[in-house]
This record gives sequence, structure tokens and C-alpha cells, in this order.
Amino acid sequence: MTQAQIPSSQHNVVSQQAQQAQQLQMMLYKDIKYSVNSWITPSVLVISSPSVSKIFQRSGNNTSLEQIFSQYVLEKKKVSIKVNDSSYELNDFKVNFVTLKDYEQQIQSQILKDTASSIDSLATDEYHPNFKLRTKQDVPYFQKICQEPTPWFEKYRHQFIKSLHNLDLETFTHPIAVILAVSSEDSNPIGMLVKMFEKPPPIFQQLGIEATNIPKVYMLIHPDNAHTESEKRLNEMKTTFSSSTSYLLRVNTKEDLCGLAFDHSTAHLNPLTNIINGILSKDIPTFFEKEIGGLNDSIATNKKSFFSKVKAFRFGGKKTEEPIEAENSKNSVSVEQSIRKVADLYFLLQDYENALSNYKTYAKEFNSDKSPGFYAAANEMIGLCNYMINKECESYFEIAYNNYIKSGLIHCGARVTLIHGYVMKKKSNYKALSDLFKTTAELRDIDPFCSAILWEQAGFALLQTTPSPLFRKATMRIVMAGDKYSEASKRKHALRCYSFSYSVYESRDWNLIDDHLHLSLVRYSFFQGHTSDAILFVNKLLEKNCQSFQKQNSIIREFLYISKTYTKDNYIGELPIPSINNETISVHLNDYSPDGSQSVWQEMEEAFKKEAQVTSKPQLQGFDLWKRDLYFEAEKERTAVVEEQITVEVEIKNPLQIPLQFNRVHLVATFKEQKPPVDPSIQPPLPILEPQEESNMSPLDDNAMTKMNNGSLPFKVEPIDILLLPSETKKIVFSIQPMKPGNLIVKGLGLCMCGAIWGKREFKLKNKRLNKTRQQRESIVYEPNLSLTFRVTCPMPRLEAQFVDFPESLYHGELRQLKLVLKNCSNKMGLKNVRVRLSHPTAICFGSNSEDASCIKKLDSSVFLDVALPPNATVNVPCWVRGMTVGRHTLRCLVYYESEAGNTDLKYRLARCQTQFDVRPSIRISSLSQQSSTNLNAYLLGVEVDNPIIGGAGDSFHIKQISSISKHWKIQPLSYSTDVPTPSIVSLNPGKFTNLFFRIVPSNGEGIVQSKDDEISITNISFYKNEPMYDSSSFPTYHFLEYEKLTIDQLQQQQQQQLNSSSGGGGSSGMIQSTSNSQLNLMANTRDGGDNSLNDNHPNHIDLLIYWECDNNNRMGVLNSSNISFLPTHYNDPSLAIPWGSWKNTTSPSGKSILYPSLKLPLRYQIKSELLIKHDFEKERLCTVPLKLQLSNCSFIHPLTLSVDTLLPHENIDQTTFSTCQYFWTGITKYNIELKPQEIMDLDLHVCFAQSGVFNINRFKINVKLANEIHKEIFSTIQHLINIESNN
Amino acid sequence: MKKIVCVAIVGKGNNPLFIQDFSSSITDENKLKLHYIVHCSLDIIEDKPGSNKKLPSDMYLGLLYPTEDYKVYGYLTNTKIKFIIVVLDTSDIKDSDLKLFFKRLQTLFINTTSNPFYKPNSKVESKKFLQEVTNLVPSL
Repeated sequence: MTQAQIPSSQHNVVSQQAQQAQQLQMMLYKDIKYSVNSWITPSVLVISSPSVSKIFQRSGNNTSLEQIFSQYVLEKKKVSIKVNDSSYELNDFKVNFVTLKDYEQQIQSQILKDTASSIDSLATDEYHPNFKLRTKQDVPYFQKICQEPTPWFEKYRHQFIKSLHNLDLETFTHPIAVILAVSSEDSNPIGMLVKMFEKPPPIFQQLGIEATNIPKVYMLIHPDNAHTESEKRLNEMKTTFSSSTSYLLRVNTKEDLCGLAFDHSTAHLNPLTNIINGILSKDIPTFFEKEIGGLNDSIATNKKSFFSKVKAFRFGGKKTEEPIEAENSKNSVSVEQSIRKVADLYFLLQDYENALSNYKTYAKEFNSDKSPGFYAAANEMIGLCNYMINKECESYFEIAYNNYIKSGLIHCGARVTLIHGYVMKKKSNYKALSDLFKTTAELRDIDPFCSAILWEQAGFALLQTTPSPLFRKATMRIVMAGDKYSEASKRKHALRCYSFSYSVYESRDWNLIDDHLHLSLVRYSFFQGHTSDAILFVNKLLEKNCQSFQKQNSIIREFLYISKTYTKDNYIGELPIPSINNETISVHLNDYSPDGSQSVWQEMEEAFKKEAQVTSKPQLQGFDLWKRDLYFEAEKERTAVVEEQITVEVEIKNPLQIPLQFNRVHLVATFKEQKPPVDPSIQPPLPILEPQEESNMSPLDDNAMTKMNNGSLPFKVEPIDILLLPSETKKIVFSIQPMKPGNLIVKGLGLCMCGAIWGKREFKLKNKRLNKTRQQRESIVYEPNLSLTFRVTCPMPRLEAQFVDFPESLYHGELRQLKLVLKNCSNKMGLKNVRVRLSHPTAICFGSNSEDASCIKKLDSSVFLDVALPPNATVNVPCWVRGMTVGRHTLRCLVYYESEAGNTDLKYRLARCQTQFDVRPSIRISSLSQQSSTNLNAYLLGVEVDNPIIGGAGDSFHIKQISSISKHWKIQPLSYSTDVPTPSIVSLNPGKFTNLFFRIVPSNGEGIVQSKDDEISITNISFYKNEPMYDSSSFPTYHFLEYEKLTIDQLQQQQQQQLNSSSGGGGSSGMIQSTSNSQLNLMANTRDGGDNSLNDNHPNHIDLLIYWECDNNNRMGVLNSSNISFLPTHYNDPSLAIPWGSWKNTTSPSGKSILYPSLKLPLRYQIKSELLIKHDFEKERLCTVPLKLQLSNCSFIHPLTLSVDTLLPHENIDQTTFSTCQYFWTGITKYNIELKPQEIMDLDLHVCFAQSGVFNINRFKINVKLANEIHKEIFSTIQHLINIESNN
Repeated sequence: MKKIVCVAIVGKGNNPLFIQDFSSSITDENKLKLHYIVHCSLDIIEDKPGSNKKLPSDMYLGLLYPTEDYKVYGYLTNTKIKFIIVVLDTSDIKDSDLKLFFKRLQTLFINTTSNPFYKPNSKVESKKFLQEVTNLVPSL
């Protein structure tokens, strides 16, 4: 008996540090020799009685005798064997302990399955984390960072080679010793032992195993609870069999493994060690010696007989051919088997030279056509022997492979492939290796897992090819591996293969490949629980929408099925469909919907913001503008009010070609209660709980619905069912109702897809890239988009505003009364401080009479309505509307209000209302003003009124009344003196004109004195005597007039600005005049600035109001012709510089009056004298007539400096009479005078006539000094005719 | 029987511009396989020494690689547009015929992509082009 001497340290490592052992094991797997040796290991057959098996099964762990045995041969065992002349010293002799069961033809698929699952624990998710193979250049990097992408391969190879025996072709499994074991519990153990091997088991016969030489060991298992005497039995056994082959084994059934567990320290005391050592040192060497000797003898004899037979065959006739053949074949099988057996035994003894020669002989007995299997097996072994002794082996492997395939032994072929592949890899012949693996993997009946492993290796081999790796082909092979892995339902492997290869094809438009990969990735990501990845790939899969609708249908079905099966709570998270048009998401806090003129509303809202002083935007000027970036106001979240709905409009699209059903689509949001304000001075007695964030990102099933409706959620949503037809886009309005104050963020849509799976679609809002500070510019920072973030504040009243009785259409100037209804919808809180802002501020006057009128003084201010609305109150605000300008208008009204209770978060709220109306043209008015030629202080006013509608459709208008409003002036009818004209001249049928003339005279008697500022003079002239007159000074006509003036002022200011801005580049001829004027104006302003402030109250104004009535429905209206300036104006008074003496269209339908800038003087003059003079020329040659030149300064402000010069009469001498018919000036002919404002001065002039006749006295000039150097000369153009009659 | 199974045009960035199979009885799986074959042949084209050549004379790359059922031939223009055809392994075709075929295919491609509405390096979706290629295929 030889005691195995093995360093104990190694053993400890094996038993204690399992991990290290595993690594060691993995190292061993790398060497194919190790795998081959564990395949080709001699077997010891263990035959035990049923009671023995029971004993071991009972003792727990379900062990068996052979398993305990195998523990004792894990160490290296030294065996020395002598065969013929040579002796073999084997340092590491291994045996397998097998039972008869192992010889039963196992189902190959089961072995393969077990082999495959043996490496399950080694499977990885990725070859290398976060690596993406995209181009050829990535391959070397990958090889550097990931030297061993498939660590499981070697183990698989080992297991595959080890466990795949082909009992027909090889004899390695033939037992080299038999252990027979019975238990002392058996009734007749000795007899049983005898019986057991009296006749060898049928398998021996089947495999052609010669049982005679096999050594047998007899064992009696004696459990401690057995009653019979064990020693006696042993002695019996020793006498029956032989003392050297009989053993007694006492077992302790109470301990694990019957107390036979292998422990190195106590191994030498263990009876099993003795048994094993006995077998190894004694029985097996003798067996080898006898068996090889015996076999060699039989081969030698058989060969002789074979050769003799061959001779007989050669020289014998054809008659005997067939029986000889048959006999031959029968004999030769046994001969060949003997050769094979000898060869295998030599191989077991690691005598590869001898084995090789025997295998070669063996191979000669077969040819590839008749028995390719045997031929292949022989060649495989030749190859292996050659490999073991480092000789050329590849050609043999090739032959072996081809013949295995021929004979249909696919998996033996695969084994050869694995061994051959190893050899090729050692030689770095990667291309051939890859092709070999690929060919094998493509075999029809190969185990899918084996095929997958081979494909994968084929792929990685291609990555190794030099000079340039064929990475595309490699990835294709890895995809194939993925397909095969999925066939073998190894999902982890499959996912890894697909995701690795995906990067090569990603975003390169290989549609079919993409689809294939995406679909696989979706499946396996789901299987592996990577739901988000799965969704991502579903998105990609459906993105291009290039599949047929049947395919899409099946994709969706599968998606629903898988996701339903593999997700928790039926909730998947982000769904791939429907697609949301994120650009179109719009939010409405109040219940009005947006229209096309959002900007109009916004402008008004901004104005209110300014008015309420909510904005803190600083007004920047000068150098601060450089730093304006710093003053930008951060965008704030919007404020919503508790229990008021927030509506979100979303455009959703079905990107697919199949209809999709979505149930209970609703908004999903997160809600966080606001932290109560912490006062830092007071130490909080208790730590304040961080408010919990609540969200509804879970299925909105019936439970959740009731929960929500019970109010346990801080907000409510409204679910909608949607059916989207193929490629349909729908705009859908969703609503959410916050129930508590706090922060609410709307995240997206929650929905149930096709009634199967719940999920959500998040909104992806576009964030503005920040670019204001340097820091932001240097990095990429985005501004958070707060459009779906709301601060929910405590309840506020809500106001609804609506116009009642608003007419659909108005005539230009028409007045109508209507109401603005304000309703406080809140039943808890009152509201106050109601202000109104209108898009057409001049169209509406609030109030019912002059006392309660709410008017604006400036166009950009809001109207304050003095109303307070207690809860649930409704207030009607009376107001008047007037058709201001012709056209179609949308009147937008924004109502501002504050809560009576006050709210710090939300100072005010706004309500909108709007209405549309038409303004149709009614009548038009033009006015003309002229100086009166008779009175220096009177002017002529012509009014032309026309009804411009031509055709049958127009209405007739009746001018009811004309009123003038002015500070200093009044009008008097001129067209008629006492009687009122017939109504027909003031009734305007369509297309009719009428002219009316009035005289403008100072209102208070003769001269114009500076009257009190407040007083205005109103003249009303009615054309219908018996009817009551309209009061032009009262509400609302007067207010509308004021509004109209404001509009005109604004217009003029705008025009002025335009003129100023255009003066820089004024090149066009039309502009020249205005340019020079504005320059003059500028000059004047600098000289005596501040004058313009007087413009407003300038006395040179008269406002004309023309009241009309219409037959149609008794409508009435008033047309204003405001600011008619009739006085000659001062040169530096440009706003008044409207030429007089020409018709001015004051009520053009467009509402614009055109400005004619020109230079005029506020100077009027008149010559007064007797008009008929009788003179006796004979008495006195010359007739001297005194004249008065009356000069009047019409200006109320400016004095005039002027000089009056008489001019010589024309040299207009009558050729026939040689006499002149002119007059001469005499006396003072030049005056230099200064006229104070409103001063009238008479200058005495004398004119001298030499003969009778009619003379036009206009030969004088007035030189007005304008500025220092500028003078303007006025030459009289008026006729003043004096008739000189001769007395005789 | 048609010899050509698949005609593919691959752009500069190795993205397919046109890929069409010309076999009457082709399954989806085989279509996929053809795509993979075309894709793999790009490896070979990249490896060909001719791919760096400046001379316009020899754009024909010859047999790229034979698979069990098919042979793949390639043609590379100076603008790195790759023309790849997959033919049945059984058919024996002269190089001169292939060159001619490729030349014609290139002409068709040039004519199609000269359309001002064609965006360079995008998929050729012209129905006319498809029809012309379909007409051209039996000529080999």
C-alpha cells in the first residue's frame, strides 16, 4: 500500500478557499490537455446492493458510495505500472468511479443541457461595461481593455469534452476494476457478492468488454446499528474470495457521509484510503499488464489469420467471396476493437508513442466511406497523440471532423472542433479558427447552446484577425450567437450578444438589421428586467415606422404581452407611444382658451403687472446697460389657486400604422407641500418634517380612482379615453385640480395602453440655454422650464366678466348703451379693487351719467371701477360703446381684481372677456375754415357732410344737431340767418352731400380775453326745433370726444417721432418740407422751450360734434370733428400748423387725419377806408384818402415784431393816354411796430389818387421778423377797392 | 433564373443608400441575411488595398467573399460610394460583364442623385431608380 504524499498546503487551499480554487480550476480549463485527460480517464465500476445505496441515502446528503470514493482520488496519486518491458510511473493517476447506470445510454440532449447550465453562473451582462464598438479603430482598444470577453468558454469546452463519451467508438469508459459492495444488513451478503459478478453485467457483453482480467474488490458495509458480527463475515469473505481483495467498511450512519467524509489529516486512518490504495497500487497495474499482454497476443494471432484469409481471398474463387466477407467483418470488429483497446490503454498510461502506432494501425482497418465514424474516431485519437507529443495534428483533426459529420456524429465533430480550435488559437490562426467554428455552428442538428458558444467564439476570433479585424463580420457572428442563445433560452447571453453588436449598426440605417436587433433587444431587456432599455428599443423600433402594419401589430402585441408578464404592479414606467408634440404643450390656468392674439392679452397683462408693481425689473440706462444680463428676472413658476382647474393642452400622435387605444389618459404630476416658513430666531422645538413628495405615477385603476376622489391625493385629474387611428394626431385638453397649497409639477401623461399595461409619457420641455454670464457661456447650462410647475396658493375669488347687450355692428360714431357683467364665482371670498383694461380703450366709457363715469386720462392707464363684489355677487357695470373706427374689431377686456382677504403669493388675478363687433361707415364730415374778410375776429367754418354709401343698401342719416365746444369761440349759422332750413337739407340719403356754413366768433362778445381755464363755451344748433337737444357737455358724448382727442394726440406724437427718426436720412422729395419744418421746430424749441405745454389749452381750437340719427332702428350717434384750428398759427407752433383755407377731412373712415406742416403767421390785417369817394379833380388835382391798416396778432402767446412798408404802385402807364392810373402813397409810409398777443393796431396810411376810377389798394408789404435773421415778407393779396368818382 | 440576388449601394459613412433584393422567392429571414452579408462585405472593401487608390481606372474590386450560397462582388467609386451585388454561387460570371454591370449601375446612380431634390448621402427612394435597376438586373 502506498500512502499518497501530497503537500497539505495545496489541499487546504482547495478545501478552504473555494474562490481561489475556482480560479485555479479556471486556469486548468485553459489547457486542453487537462480537458482531454479528464475525458480520457480510466473508470472503476462500483456495483452495490440496494441496501448499501439505502444506507448512504439515509445518512443524508443523498450521497452514494461512488461519490465518497471519488473524494479520495482528488489528490494526485502515484501509480507505477509495468507493461512488458517498459514501466510507467504515473504521478497523477486519476480514476472515475462509475456505476452501471452510467453505462446506460444517456440521452445526449440531457448531457448537453447539463453542460450548458454548468456555466450559467459565469454569464455576464456585458463583455465590457460601457463599451461601444462603432468603428474599426475601437477594436484594438476593446482587446486591450477586455482580454477575456468570454470567460465561460473554457469551462464549457472542458465540460463538453469531458462529458461527451461515445461508447461505441472508444473504450475509455471500460472499467479497469470493479468494486462490489454489500451491506451486512443483507440477508446473505456473501452469496450476494458471489452472485453479483458471477455473470458480468449485460453492458459488458454489449460493449465487448472482456471481464476476465478485471480485478474485483469485495466490500462489506457494516453500519453501526447492524446486529450481525462484522468480523465473522469478513473472515467468511476472505475465505470465499481472497484475503487481499476483501474489505470491511464500518460506517456511522449518524454522521454525514456515514463518517467517511474525506479529511486529509485523518485520511491515513480511514479504511477507505486503504481500499483505494490497494486498488491503485496492486489491482490496476496487474490489470494493465495482463490486459495489454493478452490483447497484443490476440491481435497477433488474428492478424495472421487475417492475412491468410486475405491470401485465400486473393487466390480463391469468387464463389467464396460473400461468406468470407461476412465472417471477415465479424472477426475484424473484434480485432479492431482489440487494437483500439490496446491503443486506449496505452493512452491511459500516457504512452502516446505506443498509442499512436496502435491508433494508426487501427485507422488502417477502416476507410472513410464505409465506416466514417470509426475512421473519424481513429483520426481524432491520432491527432490527439500527435498533439500530446507536439507533432503536426491538424490534418488528422480535419479528417476526423469531416468523417464525424459524414457519420452524423455532430457532437463528436463539435468536440474535434473545440480541440482543433484550441490548436489553431495557439498558432494564432484566427481566421481559420473562426471559419471552423462557424461551419460547426451552422450544422443542422447541433445543440443550440453549443452552436451559440461556437458562433460567439467565431466572432471574437475575427476581431483578432490581423492586419485589420473584420469587425462587421465578427458582430454578425455574435448576432448569430445571440440568436442561438435565445434558441437555447439563455437570455442573459443573448442580450449580451445583441447589445454588443448593436453599436455597430446603431443609427446607420440598416433597417432590417436594426429591426431584428431592436426586437431582440426589446425582448431580452424585458426578460432581464432592464425595462427602461426595453422601452428605449421599442421607441427605436417604432421610430422609423417602416414595418408593415401586420408586423407592427405583432410587435405591439408582443410588447404588451412581455411587459405585462415581466413588470411589477402592471406598471411599466415610460411608454414608447403615443408620441407627444412637446412644442405644442400649452397651459391655461383660468378657463379661457388661447386665441391667435395672445400678444394683445400679454401686453395688457404686462401693463397690469406694472401697475400692481409686481415686477422688479430695474430701468437701466447708460453704462448699466452693459450689465443688463445681471438684472434679468429669473422666470418664476406660475401661481395656481387651490381647487381651480389647470388645463393642459397636448397634441398626441399615433406614429404607427395600426389604431391604438389608450384608456384613462390623465395628467401625472408630483406634489410637494410647501415648507412652513422657518423663523431662524426661534429654535424649533421639534425638527420640521420635510414635506413628502406625492405623485400619481402608478396605474390609475379603480382603486386609485376612488382614492383620488376621496381626496386622499393632493390633486385630482380627469381621465379620458382616447382612440388614435393610424398616424392620427389629436389635440386633447387635460385638466388637473390641485386640492392643497404647495408645489405642483405636471410631469406628463399617465395612460393604460390598449387596456393592458399602465405607463406614462413624460413631457420633455425645451429648456432655454443660458448664455448670460460668462460662467454660463463657458459651460452648458439650461434654464429650468417652469411652464408646467405651479405654486398652488390658498383660495382666491374668481371673477367672470361678460359683456351684455353688446351690439354686433355699429355705425361709425354710433352710441350704444350696454353692460359689463361681473360675477364673483367664489362662494367664500369677496373681491375688490376692480380695474379694467381694454384693447380699444377709447371705444367704451364706463358709467351711466356724468357723476359715476369712470374715465381714463391716459390711454395706457386702466379704468378703475368702484365696485366691490361680495361672495357670489353679480354686478352690472353700465357702459357706452361708440363706433370709433370703421372695420371689424375684437374687443378684449381684461379685468383686474384683488382678493379682499389678500394673498401674498398672488396679489391680483385677471379675468378675460372678449367680444367682436363691426363698425360700418355712417356719414363723413369735412370741414373748412377761412378768415372772414369783414371781421378780423371772425372766421368762416364750412362743414361738408356726405353719406358715402352708394347703392341701395345704405341707410339715410339725419343730421340732428351740430354742437361746438371751445373755450373761446362759438359758432353761428351762416347759411341761413333766422329760419331753420327744411329738414331735407340735413337728411342724407345714400350718396348725398350737404354743405353747411357757420361763422366762428368769440364766445364772449367782441374781443377775446383770457377767460378762466375751466370754462368752455358750448353752442348747440338743432335742425329740428321741436325736439329736445343733445347735451354735448355731458356723459358720454363729451368723454368720447376727450377719448378721441387723446387718440389724435397719440397719433400725432407717433408721427412726430417718425418724422424725427426719419430726418436723418430724409432724401425723398416728399420729405424735404417736413424735414425743414422739424428742424425749425427743433430750433424753436431750443429757443423758448416749454411753449408746447400750452398746446392743450390752446384757444385756437374748436370741436365740432355732429349728431345724427338713423332711420334704421332709431339709432343715433355723434361724429366728432375735434381740434379744428382756424386761426393762422404761429410759426413755432407746429402742432397747430394745419393749413387753413383747405378742406380737411376730419372724419375719414380710417380715423387718420393727415398733417400738413407749413409755416404760417398768426397775423391778420385789413384795410379800412371809405369805399366811395367823390372828388373834384378840377378843384384839387390830387385826392388824398386816409386809410387805416388794421393789424391783428391772433396769437395768444407770441408778440409779433413787424414793419409795414408801402410799395410804389406799378408802372402801369396807359400807352394811349400816357397817363397813369395808379395811386401814390403819401404821409408816413413805413412803420416799425410790435404787436402784443391779441393786440389789434390801426396804422394810418394815406393814399393819393390823381384821377377817378376804381383802385385796388394792396401795394404794401408786411415784413415779419421771425428769428434773428429770418424775415418773412407778406405781400397783400387781398383786394381793397376804392371807387373814386369825379364830381363833375 | 436571375443570377443577382441583391443590389446594394452603401454610402461614405457605411450607411446603406439603396438595398434591394431581386429574388422572387425570398423569405424575410433571407432578406435579413442578405443585409448582413452586404454589411460584412464592407469589412473586405475596407481592407482592399484599392480603397485608398487615387486612380479612377480600377473601381471594380472583384469578388469580395464567397459564402455557401452566394458570391459578393464590389465596386468602389472615388467618392467612396460602394456598389455591392450578391449573386448566386452557382452562376459563373466574367469579370468584364461585372465591370460593365457596375458601370451601368453607377451611371444610373449618378443620374438619380443629380436630382437637385436629392439630399447627398441620404437614402435613394426614387421609384424610377428602383425600376431602372430592376430592368438592369437581368442583363447580367
